[in-house]
Amino acid sequence: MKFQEQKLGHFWWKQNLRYTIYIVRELSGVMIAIFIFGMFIHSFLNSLGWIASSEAPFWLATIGMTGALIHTITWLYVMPQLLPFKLTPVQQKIVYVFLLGIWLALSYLMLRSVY
Amino acid sequence: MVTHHKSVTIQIKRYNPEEEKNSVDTFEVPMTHDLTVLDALNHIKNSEEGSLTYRWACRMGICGSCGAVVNGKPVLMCSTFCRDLKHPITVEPMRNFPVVKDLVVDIDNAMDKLRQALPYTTMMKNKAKLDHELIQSPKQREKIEQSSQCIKCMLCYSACPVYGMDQDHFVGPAAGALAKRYNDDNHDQIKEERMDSMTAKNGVWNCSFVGECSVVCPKKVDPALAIQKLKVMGVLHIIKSALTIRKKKKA
Repeated sequence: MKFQEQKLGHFWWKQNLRYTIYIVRELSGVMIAIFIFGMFIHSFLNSLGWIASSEAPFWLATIGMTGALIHTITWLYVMPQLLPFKLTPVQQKIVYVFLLGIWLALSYLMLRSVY
Repeated sequence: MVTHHKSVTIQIKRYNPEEEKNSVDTFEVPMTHDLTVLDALNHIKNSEEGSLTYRWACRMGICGSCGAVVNGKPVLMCSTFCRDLKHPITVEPMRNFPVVKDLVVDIDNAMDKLRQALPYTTMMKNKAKLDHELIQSPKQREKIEQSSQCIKCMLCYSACPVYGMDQDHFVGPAAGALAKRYNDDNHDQIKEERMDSMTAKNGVWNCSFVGECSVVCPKKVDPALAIQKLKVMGVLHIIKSALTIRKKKKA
């Protein structure tokens, strides 16, 4: 008689929406890492004169920016669940919208100060 | 008065340990308004398939025995009404645990994790406190109210993909909530030892806040939040331990 081991399948993240959002959140960190390491490698190769002008920085920045956006939006969604006081699901959504608003406002102010 | 308007189709994933074979058996159960999944299984066992094996006890969501995955979600079968589910209803054993037979799983590994949380208070550390009664105010009691509700049903372990991927290096949601419960208890005197256990390699660090454990918890214990708080306490504990070691070395 043998117990049957239950291994987590490769596509466990498709079981429900929360798992899928979690995996997307984690993979967005990989996108940011691709941008950082890609820029390092590009700068290094550029400094050696091995590459002239290329579109690589543009595409790396696009990947990095997309990853950063996904990462921010998904982590801001999680933040109301981590507060030290209890909130109802509706209150959590209100806090999420409020945090998104602060983030967008700060981003706008930063862009205005730079450009 | 029970009225049989229609029947409900239940598909049960089964495992025969003697033949080491899986199967999915389908049953029709007379539907009533207040039929729970557990009631349906009891009907099946009593009238059709006596060999169907599953755990249950209290029938009222307090013992934690009847955990299973119903329509893809870990639930207590006694608290899940068939009227609220999409039909046909699929019933599977809890995930991330070895299956003993049919819907019965071996939860020994998760139980060992609970022991790692040192889930007890001890009065022996400070014997002076034994001279008078140990009072707990309503406010102090309220602090441990939420985390005390855990019924050890293990639905959180079934829902946790981190535990599913690596059972050796993560203490798990229920153990984290249990450790938080005893840390918050004003009777507790072994917080340092408990934090040593929780901040070990196989402690709380692997949690990356999937959050599904808190969603499936039938008692709203919120183990996800408990673990994040333990992580913060863990960092402070590690810093404090490091400073304490430095002071001892200097002395």
